[in-house]
Amino acid sequence: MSLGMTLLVVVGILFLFGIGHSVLDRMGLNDKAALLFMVGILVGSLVPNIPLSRRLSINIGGAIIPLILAIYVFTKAGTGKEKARSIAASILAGIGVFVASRLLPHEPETMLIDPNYVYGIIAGVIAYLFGRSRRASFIAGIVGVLLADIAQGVINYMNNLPTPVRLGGAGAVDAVVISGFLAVLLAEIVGEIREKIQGGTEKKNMGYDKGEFIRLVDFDDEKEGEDEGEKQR
Amino acid sequence: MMRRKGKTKVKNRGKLIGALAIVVILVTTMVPTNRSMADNWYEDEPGYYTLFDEEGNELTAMASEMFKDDEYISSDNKHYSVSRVNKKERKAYAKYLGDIELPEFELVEDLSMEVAAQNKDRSILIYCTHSSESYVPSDGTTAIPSKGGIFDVAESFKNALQEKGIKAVLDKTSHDPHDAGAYRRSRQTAVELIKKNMPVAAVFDIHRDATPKHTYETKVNGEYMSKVRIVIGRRNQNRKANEELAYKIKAIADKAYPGLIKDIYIGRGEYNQELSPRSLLFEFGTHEISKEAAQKSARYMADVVNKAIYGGVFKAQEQANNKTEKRGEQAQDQEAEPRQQSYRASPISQGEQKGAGRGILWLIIAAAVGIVIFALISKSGNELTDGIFGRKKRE
Repeated sequence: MSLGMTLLVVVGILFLFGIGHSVLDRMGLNDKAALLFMVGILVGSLVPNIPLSRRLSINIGGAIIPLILAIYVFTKAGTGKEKARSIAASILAGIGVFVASRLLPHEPETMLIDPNYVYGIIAGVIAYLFGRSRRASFIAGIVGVLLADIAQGVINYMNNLPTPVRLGGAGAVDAVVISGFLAVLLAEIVGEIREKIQGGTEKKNMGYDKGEFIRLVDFDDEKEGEDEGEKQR
Repeated sequence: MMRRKGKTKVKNRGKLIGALAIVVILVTTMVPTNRSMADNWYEDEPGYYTLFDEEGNELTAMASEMFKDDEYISSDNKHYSVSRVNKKERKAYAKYLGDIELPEFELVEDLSMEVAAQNKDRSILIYCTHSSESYVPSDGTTAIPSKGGIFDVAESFKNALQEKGIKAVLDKTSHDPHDAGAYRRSRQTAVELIKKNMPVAAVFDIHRDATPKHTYETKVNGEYMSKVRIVIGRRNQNRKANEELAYKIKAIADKAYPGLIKDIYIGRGEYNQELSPRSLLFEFGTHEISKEAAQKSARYMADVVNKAIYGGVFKAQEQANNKTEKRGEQAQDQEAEPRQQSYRASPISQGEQKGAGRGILWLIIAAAVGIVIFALISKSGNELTDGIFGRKKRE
C-alpha cells in the first residue's frame, strides 16, 4: 500500500480512537481506564473470533470488551432506577435495531443513511428517553445490537439459514461498538443542549442526568488516587 | 457516589422488563425471515422511478425511490443532481452539474510494449452482502436463501482475476436475510477478509439490481451481456480514493469495452466502503437478466479492474457512441478517434495520492466540525478540550 493510503488508514484509526477515548472519558472513566479499554478494543479486534458453536462466535474487541465495559458502567450506575432504565432501554434498543434491520431500505440506491449508523441513533434515542444518561445510552447501544444479533441468530437457526452469528465480528468497527459510542455522543449532544437551555452557566457544577439536574461526582475517583484533580463533574 | 437510593418501584419495573423480554422473544420469532418489507415492492408492480434531465430527456430508471440531491453520473460522464421529485408519477428531474473528467491514458504505438509485470501480490477481495440475490431466467427465482446466483457471478469475476495472476479471494458467507441488517453482517465478512489478506488492492461487494431488463442489456464486442453499475458511498474518508478507482475503471471500460459500464451512482449509504480505500459496489445486471449475461460481463470487468489497478496496455474499440469522446484530449491527436488505438494504464499506486490526501483532509475537517459543534453546545472551553483530548489535571 502506498504511503498516502497507509496514512489515510492510520489517520482513520486515530480518528476513531479519539472519538472512542473521548466518549469513555465523558462517561466518567479516567484517562488510563479509557485508554486501556480503547487499546483492548483495537487489539482484541485483531484476534480471531472465539467460536462458541458451529455458527456462533464472539469477537474480543467487538463484543467481549464492550460488554465488560457495559457491565462495568452498569454496576456504577447512580441509582437502582438508572439500572432498571438501562435494562429496559437495552431491550427496547434490541427491538428497535431488529425492526430497523428489517424495515430500512436495503438496496444500495434506496438508502437514506447507512444502516450501521441507524442502530446507534435508535439506541441513543431510546436510551435517552428511558435512561436519560450517557451510561444508559452506552449500555443500550452495546447490548441492543448484541440482542438483535442473537434474536436474528435464533430465527436463522429455526429457519435453517446458514448465516453465522459473529457477535462483534468486525471488532472495533462493528455495529456493536459504533452503536454504543454513537448512542453516547447523541445523549451527550442532546444532554448538553438541554443542559445549556435549562441551566446555563449557573449550574456548571451540575449535570443533566437521570432526568434531573444533579451534582455529578466521578464514580471512579476513589479508586484512582492520582486523579485528585477531577473531583467534580 | 451512590447518593440516591433506588425506590421500591424498581422491583415491579424488573418484572415489567422480564415480561417485556418474553414478549419480544415471542414477537421476533414470529417475524418471517426470508422476506423483508422495505424494497421488494418493485417485484409486485412496475414501480421504478424514471429520471429526466431539465429538458425532459429520459436519463435512467431506478428500482427505488429517488430523493432530492441524489447524484448520478451517466454513461456519457454527465454529472447530475436530482432537483425535484414527483412521487405520484414516479418521476425525478435532475440538474446537470457538468461533465466528469475521467483519467486520460498514454497512447501506445507498439502493442508489444506491455508494461513491466506489476506486483500482483496485493489482493482483491470479493463478497456478496445480499447473498440470496438471484437471476430469474437462470435461477428460476429472484432469491435463493444464502445461495443466490449472485455467488456464481462473483465466482466468475474471481476466476477471471485469478487467471490474470491476481490474488483474488471470494468469501461466500451468507448474510441473509436480505435486509438492511445484511450490511451489519457483511461488514464482519469484509473485515475478516481484509485482516486475512493484507495488503489489499481493492474490495468489491457484488450485487444485482432490480430494474427492468432493458435498463441493463448491452452488447460488448458483439456479445450480449449485462451492464454494470458502480455504486459509491457519499460520506466517508475513502470517497475520493474510491471515486478515483471508479472513474479509472469507467475510463478504461469506455475505451476498451464501450457499453459495459452503465453508470455511477453516488448513494447515501456507506456500503462498508469506509473500511478500506478502493472499496466499490458493483451491480451486475438485474433480476430479469440471465445469470450467464452477468457472468460474461464479470469476466470483462475482471480485465478492466486488472488494468485499472495493476496497470497494462489495452486496445480501444471503435466508439459506438461518440458522445463519450467530447472531452478535450489535448495530449492526443484530435483528428477523428482512430480505430484500435492502444493505451497504457499506469498502476493505481502511482496516481492515487490525491484521493488519500483528500481522505485525510476529510477526517481533519470532520474532527474540526465535531469540535466546533461541541464547542457550541458545551458549557465551557475546558470541558470542550477535555472531551476531545481526554481529561487533564487542572485546578
